[in-house]
Amino acid sequence: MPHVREVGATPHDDHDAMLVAALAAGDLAGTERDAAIALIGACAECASLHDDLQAIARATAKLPPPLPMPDRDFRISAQQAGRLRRGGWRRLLPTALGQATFTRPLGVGLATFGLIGLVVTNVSIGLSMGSAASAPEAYSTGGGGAAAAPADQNAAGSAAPDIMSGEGSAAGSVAPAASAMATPSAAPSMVSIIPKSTAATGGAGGGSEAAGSPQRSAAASSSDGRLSVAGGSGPAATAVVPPAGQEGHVVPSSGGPSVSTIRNIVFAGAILIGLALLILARQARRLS
Amino acid sequence: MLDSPRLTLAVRRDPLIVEDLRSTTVADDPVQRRDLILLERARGGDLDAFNDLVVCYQEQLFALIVRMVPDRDQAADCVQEAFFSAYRNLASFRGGIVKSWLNRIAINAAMDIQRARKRRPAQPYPELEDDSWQPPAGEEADPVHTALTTERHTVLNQAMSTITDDQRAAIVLFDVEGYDYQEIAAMTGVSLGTVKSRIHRGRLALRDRLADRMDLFRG
Repeated sequence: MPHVREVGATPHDDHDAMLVAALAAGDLAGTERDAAIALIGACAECASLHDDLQAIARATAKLPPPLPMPDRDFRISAQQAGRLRRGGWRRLLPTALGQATFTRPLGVGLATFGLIGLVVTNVSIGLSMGSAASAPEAYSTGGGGAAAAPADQNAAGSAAPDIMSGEGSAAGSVAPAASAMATPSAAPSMVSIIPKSTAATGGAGGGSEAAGSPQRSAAASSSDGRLSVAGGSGPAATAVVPPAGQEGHVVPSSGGPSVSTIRNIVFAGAILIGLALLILARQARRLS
Repeated sequence: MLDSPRLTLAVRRDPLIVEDLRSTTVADDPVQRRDLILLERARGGDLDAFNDLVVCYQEQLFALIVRMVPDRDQAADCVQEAFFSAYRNLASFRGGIVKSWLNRIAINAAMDIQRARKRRPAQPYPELEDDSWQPPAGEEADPVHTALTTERHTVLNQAMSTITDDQRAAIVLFDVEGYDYQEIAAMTGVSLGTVKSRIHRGRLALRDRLADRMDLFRG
């Protein structure tokens, strides 16, 4: 039992009003009840609160009955019954599925899975976009031009010597062929992989300082940030080195939804199905 | 032989109680038995049986709901919606007390309507403006006491309309309607602890709102 002096030393605002309310309702037993009794014994305001709560409970119990209901017929007509009645499989859907024990956990699991998936997917896209934004000129157009892309000395090991910038927009979805990071990119880039026949030329510089990348051993960057890659016997092309931290993946050069879009759709669908199951379970619980 | 004094016959003194193994339990209470019979017939497609249930419980449901939804029109809509919902989901009744089942549906309908409309009535509890509800005063009735009682009920109902819907429902079911914690938990679909918490918090909230009028409740 708490010491009366300890209770009295603390201000009334620090006292547990819920404890007093539970005592007034007669819901306490054992040590909790002892603590509450000590509280109202030591604090005059708590004692007053206790008495007031009991008075309110007594007054509520004596509230007058409401006036009789208005002259209204709550019976159901045959037409209303026809509309309300559901036939076939729809009648079973909320009761069978909603009352199943697995419905609620499954709904929670699906919704959580979808939410986490969406967050992870789009945060990764956001990071990719941020990295791409730091060197926009390197991806603006394809072909020639000395795009002096600023080099990022902290480039991750995701160099893409094999990836060429195409004619269209190439805003940052360059990915190494052998890169393990298949992080989806939200950039609507349309790049295609074109093998390069000429040997790598140029020296170090630009954005090719991705240390540790195995692809870089076969390539060298020019001073303007472009990387010439030795490759097969195809037409010569110049690879645009992604800035540091850029992680991308190969996207189809024409048509079709990207992998990231498909993932977003899947995760969003999981959230919707999970929410639907939770609603069904809740409806079944309310009506049973 | 049959007339031997040592022969004892196995005579059943009390009639054997046969357990009814149907899905809806047969109750001793005639009211409950009637409700179950009507419900079974309604499930079989008998609309008149369901409407008989409506007539039996419409006043009681309205009296319950109008305390939680002070606007009488809203309360009537809640009761109507509750009966619609009960008819639509007759198959979901899995035994028990029909009255509790209907109460549960009605309470949920009241919560839904309050959440959907989110408006306070201009005149909560209009019956308090009309003295017809009061029993005729006896010769010994004290007008001062009567006035104080009326005033107490008025301020209490006004305070009740300002607390949250969940707290109001819990307090009405417990203090006014007299249901116990377990019944309230079953009707509202929450745990026992949540019911207690709502009642305690509701009363604390009422006390806050009535802080300057507590003289009407003391003594």
